Amino acid sequence: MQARHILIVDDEDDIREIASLTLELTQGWEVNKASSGREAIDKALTLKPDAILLDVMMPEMDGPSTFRLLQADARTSSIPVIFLTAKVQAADKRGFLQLGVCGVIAKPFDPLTLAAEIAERLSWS
Amino acid sequence: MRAKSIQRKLQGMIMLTSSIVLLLACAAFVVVDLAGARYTLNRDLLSLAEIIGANSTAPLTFGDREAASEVLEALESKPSIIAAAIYANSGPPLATYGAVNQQMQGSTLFGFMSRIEVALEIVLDGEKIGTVYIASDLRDFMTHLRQQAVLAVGILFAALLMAYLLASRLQRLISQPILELATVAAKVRSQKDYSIRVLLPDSKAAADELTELVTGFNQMLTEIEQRDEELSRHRDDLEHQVDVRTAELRSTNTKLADAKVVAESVAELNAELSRQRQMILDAAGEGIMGVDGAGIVTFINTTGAEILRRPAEQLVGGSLHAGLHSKELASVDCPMCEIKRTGNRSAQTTCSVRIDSSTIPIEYIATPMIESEGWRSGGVVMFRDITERLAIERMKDEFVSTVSHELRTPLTSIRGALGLLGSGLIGTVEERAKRMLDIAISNTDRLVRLINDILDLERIESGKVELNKTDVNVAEVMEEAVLVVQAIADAAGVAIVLEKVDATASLDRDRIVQTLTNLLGNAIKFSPRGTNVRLSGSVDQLNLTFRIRDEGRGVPVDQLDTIFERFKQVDASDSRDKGGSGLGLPICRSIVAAHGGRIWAESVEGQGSAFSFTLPRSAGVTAPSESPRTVVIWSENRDMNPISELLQERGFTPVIIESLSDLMEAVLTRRPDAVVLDLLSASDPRWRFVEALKRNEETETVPIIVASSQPEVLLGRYVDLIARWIPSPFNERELVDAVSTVSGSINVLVIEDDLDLAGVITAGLQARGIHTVHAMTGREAIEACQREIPMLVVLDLVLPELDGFEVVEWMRTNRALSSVPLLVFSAREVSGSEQERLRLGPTDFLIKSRVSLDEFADTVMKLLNAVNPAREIKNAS
Repeated sequence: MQARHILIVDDEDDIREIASLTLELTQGWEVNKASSGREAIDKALTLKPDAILLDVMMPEMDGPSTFRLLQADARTSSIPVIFLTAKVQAADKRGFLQLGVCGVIAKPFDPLTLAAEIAERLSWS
Repeated sequence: MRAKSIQRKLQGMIMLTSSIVLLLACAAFVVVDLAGARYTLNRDLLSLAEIIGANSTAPLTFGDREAASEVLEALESKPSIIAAAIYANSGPPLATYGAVNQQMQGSTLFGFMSRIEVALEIVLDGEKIGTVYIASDLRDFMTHLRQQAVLAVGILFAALLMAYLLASRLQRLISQPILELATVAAKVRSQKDYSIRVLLPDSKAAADELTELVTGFNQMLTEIEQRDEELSRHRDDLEHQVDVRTAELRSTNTKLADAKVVAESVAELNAELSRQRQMILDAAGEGIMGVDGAGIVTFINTTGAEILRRPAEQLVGGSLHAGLHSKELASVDCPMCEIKRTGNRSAQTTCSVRIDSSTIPIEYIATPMIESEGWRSGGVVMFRDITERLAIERMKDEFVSTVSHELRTPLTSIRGALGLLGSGLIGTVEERAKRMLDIAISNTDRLVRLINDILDLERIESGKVELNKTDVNVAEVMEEAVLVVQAIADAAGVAIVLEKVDATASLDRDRIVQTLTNLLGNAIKFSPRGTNVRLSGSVDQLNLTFRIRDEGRGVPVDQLDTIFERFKQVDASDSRDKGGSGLGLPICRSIVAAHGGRIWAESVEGQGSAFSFTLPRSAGVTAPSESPRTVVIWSENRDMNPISELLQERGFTPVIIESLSDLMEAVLTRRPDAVVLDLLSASDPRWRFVEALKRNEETETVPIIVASSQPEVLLGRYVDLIARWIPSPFNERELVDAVSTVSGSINVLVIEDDLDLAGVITAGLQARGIHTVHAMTGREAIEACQREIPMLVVLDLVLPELDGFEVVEWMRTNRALSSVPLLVFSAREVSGSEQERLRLGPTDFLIKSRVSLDEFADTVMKLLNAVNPAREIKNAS
């Protein structure tokens, strides 16, 4: 798998850390972290990651709002977004997909397969 | 009395007449006799006087007195001569006899009635010489007179007696019949007996006026009798009639009285019933409302009025739609309208109801009131305010969702940390520590599954999860489930034997796969190494049944029913513990129940168990290859060939009928997916064929397309009967599009390997009335195209087996498929050269992360309409 640049957005420090460590350790991907939607938008603009792993439930600005703002900006609208969420019901998932995200990955995730899941959602090979 | 009087009168008359006649006769006789006697007496005296005169001539001549006296003395022999005298011309009487008194002189001869006197001149030689005077008394005369009188009286009496006897006899001749008449008349009068007749007098007396009178009287009586008889007959008749009528009247009266009693009791009963009905209605904790066929509220109970916060009087008589429906609920979605159309009790439905400016959520069930012949006169709606319940549910949902999230977040960290540690990526882990980490990881996974299952069960059981039903191939579902558990089976050394069933059913694919996976997983769990787990299926017209059999130790009989309850695991001491949540079977049961199916377990302890569930296959869902869509068409003057060809090209079987009288039979035998009729206007009598189809229970659901020259709005009541209207004359394409729409065959083939995304797309398109067929792989897509030509293809490029490009390449080789609209829906940008390779009919490209579902659906609509500009595919809702 070729090296990728991922932005991980989660308000939980632990999860942020584990997810980034996982991707770095298993795939050697370059990972940046953001702890809020606001920060995520800023970093997306400056860092131009290949994909954004976005938590849904965050204080202040949640995942969907963040996603909409990213979509509204032409500079970030082409960056694929995957939701990382504890909301795993099919209806929730369908709702997220209707927003136009590329995929949904459920929490808790298995660190060993996270990269593969991301790659599958984004049709990376 | 009168009888006597007439007898007397007659007798009197006869006697009077006879008496007068006799008296007159006697008197005449006496007078004549007396006159005769006097004349004789007078003549005797004159003779005597002449004799005396002759004898006295000498004495007178000689004056011899003595001789004269002597002559007179001879008179002594005649005692009646009382006096006699002989007179000379002069002087004293020559001789006298008896008492000649003075009276003689000067007196007339017959002047004195007591005696008769005669004076006769004595003539000698013509010379008067003297006068003889003789006076006689009436002694003889009187004697004679007396004799005569006695005789006369005797004769008179004898004659009268005679007359009386005769009269009293003869008067009967007259009086008898009259009396008889009178008697009979009196009798008739007194006895009212008109049969009495007057006896006719003897025949010899016949033919006089009396006989005529009697005859006439009798005839009159006869006539009267006849009249009387007639009258009495008539009267009897009349009486009979009156009797009959009276009897009738009486019985009618009785009946009327009975009916009145019945009516009164019925009315009482009615009043009682309606009072009870009202009581029951008002006692109900739910709102109950009656709605007639026109959607007018006919009654509502107190609770209902309270829920709607309007007085009942204000609601009754008003329209259900106008008064209650909120704007977002169009009347097409109204369950009331639905039951009117289908005649079935509606499912429990929630909707919001307008109260003043706000709305409240209510839940209701509508039940049709079916009259004779399936005619639906309206329905009864039971409803309740679910504001509170919704609030509680919302709170519970929030709680569950929060808990789930709050639990999941730390679990994510734990699971991630353990996973990383266990992987050895962070640092080498000692074997025993690695073993501990694996235990921690598998139990974390179990905890996650438990949380997932709890949430799942909660969702399904509360009805929160709507089934995403699509027509799916049952064999595929079975294969997918087997694929999911294959790894577990392999690890357990258990072989899965799949007996596929090739059929189509309408079900929520994911949920059924989940159910099968659950049951297969359980079976594997309890199967000893080296045994088989068998998954089989069977279908009939209505139901689809799955069966999962293992060769394990089986389920104890006493637990067969309870194993579907939550956390009720079979004692699994000897089973390989896979960390089940204890919620697998309850979830299966909930999913099956949500499909309207049934799940059960059978077991022979020691020989294994079998879990089966049966699901209804939705009506009319059959594989297209088995029964192509049929359309019955009738048009009076259209050339059917091009229409027929086009329909066949679109996968329909056209059935063209010559006459509308064949319509019913054609529909009953061919069971078409649509009927197309070319009619003129609302006044066309042939609408009755449409009505006939709608009246028949077997044919009423067949959608009817009517082409007419009159605009749809002018068709009046017929509009409700037809599924779609197209203008006449129509072109072939309009017709075929209409047929496609009403027969549910606007089918879009969605080729997408991500099940979730496919589900989203399917739901989004179904919301717009578009039927979808889903293909997971390129090969499945080609198979689907072979079954039925899609009207549009949604294509993902990266697919297992044949990819998107290969699918398009294949489609291009088929004439019918090469012009199908295509929507490429890929995760990445498609380059210009790639776009060239992907062209079919009108083609558009969308990138997955860039569009919302609405934009996606809009594009689908645009492409469909680009092919068929004549039609606007409208949203079904």
